[in-house]
Amino acid sequence: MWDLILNPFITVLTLLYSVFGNSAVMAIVLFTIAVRVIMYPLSAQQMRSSKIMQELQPEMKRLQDKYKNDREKLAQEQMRLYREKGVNPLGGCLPLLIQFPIWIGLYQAINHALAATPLQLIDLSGRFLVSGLDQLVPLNNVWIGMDLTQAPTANPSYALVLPALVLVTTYVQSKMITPPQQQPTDGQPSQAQAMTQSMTTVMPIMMGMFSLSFSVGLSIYFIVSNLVSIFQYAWNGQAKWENVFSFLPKKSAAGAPVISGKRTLKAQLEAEKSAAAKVGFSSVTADDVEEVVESVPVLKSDAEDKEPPKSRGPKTKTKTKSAK
Amino acid sequence: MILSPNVRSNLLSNRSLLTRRTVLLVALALMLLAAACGPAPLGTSWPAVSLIQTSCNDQTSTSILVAYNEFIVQVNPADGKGTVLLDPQDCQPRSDENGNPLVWQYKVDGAARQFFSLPVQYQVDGKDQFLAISWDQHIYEINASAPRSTGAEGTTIAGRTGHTVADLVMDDQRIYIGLNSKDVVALDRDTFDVVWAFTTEHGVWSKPLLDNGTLYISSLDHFLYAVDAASGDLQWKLDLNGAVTATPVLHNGRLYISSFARKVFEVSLAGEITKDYATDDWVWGSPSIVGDILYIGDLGGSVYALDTTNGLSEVWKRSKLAAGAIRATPLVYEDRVLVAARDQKVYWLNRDDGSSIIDSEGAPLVRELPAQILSDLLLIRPEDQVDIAEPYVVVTTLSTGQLMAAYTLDNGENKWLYAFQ
Repeated sequence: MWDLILNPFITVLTLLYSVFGNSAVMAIVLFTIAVRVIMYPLSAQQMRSSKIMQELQPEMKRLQDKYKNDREKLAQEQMRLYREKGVNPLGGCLPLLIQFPIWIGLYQAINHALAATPLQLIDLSGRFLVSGLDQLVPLNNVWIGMDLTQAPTANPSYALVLPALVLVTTYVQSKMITPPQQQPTDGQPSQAQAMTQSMTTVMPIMMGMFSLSFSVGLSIYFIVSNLVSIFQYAWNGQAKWENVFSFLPKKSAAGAPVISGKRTLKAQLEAEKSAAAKVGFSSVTADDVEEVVESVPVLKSDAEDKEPPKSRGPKTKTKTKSAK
Repeated sequence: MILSPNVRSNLLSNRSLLTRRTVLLVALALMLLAAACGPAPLGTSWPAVSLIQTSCNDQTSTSILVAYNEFIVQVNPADGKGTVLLDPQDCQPRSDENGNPLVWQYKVDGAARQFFSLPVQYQVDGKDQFLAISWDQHIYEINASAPRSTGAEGTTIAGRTGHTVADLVMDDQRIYIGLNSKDVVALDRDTFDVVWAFTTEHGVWSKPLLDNGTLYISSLDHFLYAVDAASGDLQWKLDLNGAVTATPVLHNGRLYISSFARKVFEVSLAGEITKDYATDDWVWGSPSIVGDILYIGDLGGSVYALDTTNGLSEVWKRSKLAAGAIRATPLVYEDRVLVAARDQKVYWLNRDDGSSIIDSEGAPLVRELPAQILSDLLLIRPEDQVDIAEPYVVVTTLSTGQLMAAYTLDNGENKWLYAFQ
């Protein structure tokens, strides 16, 4: 059953190898790109589904807050929302599940075609669906001094660049597709946020470590695959580049430090207090606001703080001193 | 399908459920990748087996020598038990502190210290020695009477790294080793210094043939080379149009060899193709030639009998006899040919026409084992100084749990099984 995917992949990979000057690397690169392009409709569907789900998150959050004590009502409202928007919450999973055997088949095809051991070479027999490819066996598996069938650790030291590239490209890909994380109202990230954050950190490290054991040819496959994925997301307008560099310190739009004056901060807190009270959320008092403002030591004085930011809640009266 | 609100509420994905599913999918993908990757020395190649005779004082005994994964062992061909270690002084069986007999076993530490090449046997001052090369190209000198060395480092080949699966060849002065990536090296037998290195374009995975001062080397680069064994100088090379993994066989002044070009070739000692025969699939193994008839199997599971006295004309052919690749050299004995395949079966055929030998129940005589068979079959005869009443065939599999099985040649009766301890 698995041969239905594997044999055509091996055949195409070997054909590309013969067309492009007996270069296994070119064959791997082009075949990976070709498979990703062919699978793009599924990827695009997955991206669309993911995007819609992200857009629904504020409304979902509102429903969860509203019906937090009535799970049945919550479920009904969620279903109604999905119906209204024409969304299947599992719609993003199915394309992913279909793509998995394709990716694994591509991975296995590269392993088989490069055939580094006697058992692997015997496995290769009978897999070509096109005649005339026998003479290409075994494929030339050396590229810029590296044996494509061996792990980077068994190659010259510069081969270690490849696992590093696997790590970096996996990191960039996972970060750029991560939905923006809403700021937690209680200062603590939710379980989902924590889990997503750990996955986008852990997975690139794991892939980088795995690729130390993979053959060099497979590292090339992962790098190309990640780059194609990054390009697809960027092409689709869904690349969240700000996530990639989220570890850098943030600046305001004018380039000024984030820290504002007491008046600005107080006005902002008052506005948020009003907004929270509207949805029956918290019971923040005026004393709480004063306490927060006074606890921040580096604020500008009221005299320096001349331009409070726009408030999101109802307008509050602010005193201004007129110049004499 | 209409779902009740309760069922819907259970099936609906809230944010945490979606996140869990995403995490599970990613974890599954990583597990699949992890399961499919890794250096994995296990599963690299198949066991190397041969029949050897060792002597202790004036006593000669016959054993099966097996090199596979991290072990080299000797097995008694009469009963399938590990060959007992003998004291070199009095030739009595040696025991451990609990009185249990010590069996002949050689093991080295390290994941890459595995053996797929057949060790060579030689004598030093009348004492039996073995020379073995591991997968990672470490050479080990093994004292036949005290083989239980572990943790030995072995000797590396100067200026060479990589792997080796080809069997060794040795003469009075040199050891010849084919390397997995490319080239054949000749080492001084005493010092292991490199005497010469012959360059090929791809790996050498088969044992070279040494005959009359000439080394015949088969390479994955499609060529058969004839090289002067003393100097390493090229005498001639011949393009066989496909990867060559077989050791050539010399018969009546001709070389017989096959390649991935789906052909069996007859080659003169001057390096010219005189005859060829087209097979259905790649041919990996060496042929067996008995009574001027050449017997060989291909990786498509077909078996051929060709007349070497008549231009490699076909005597008979069994198309797709086996459901798996036939790598092992067919075993020919008296009126029968035995063929072992990757489909885990051994087939008994009539030598005259290739038809299946029928057993007492009226079915083709076939024996199935629990793992793939890629190693050559071993013929054990009473005249080999083995305490058996009739000839056996010993079959070696890829499974260490049932590494070898012995069957009578006549009717396939199972006599013993051997598993790695």
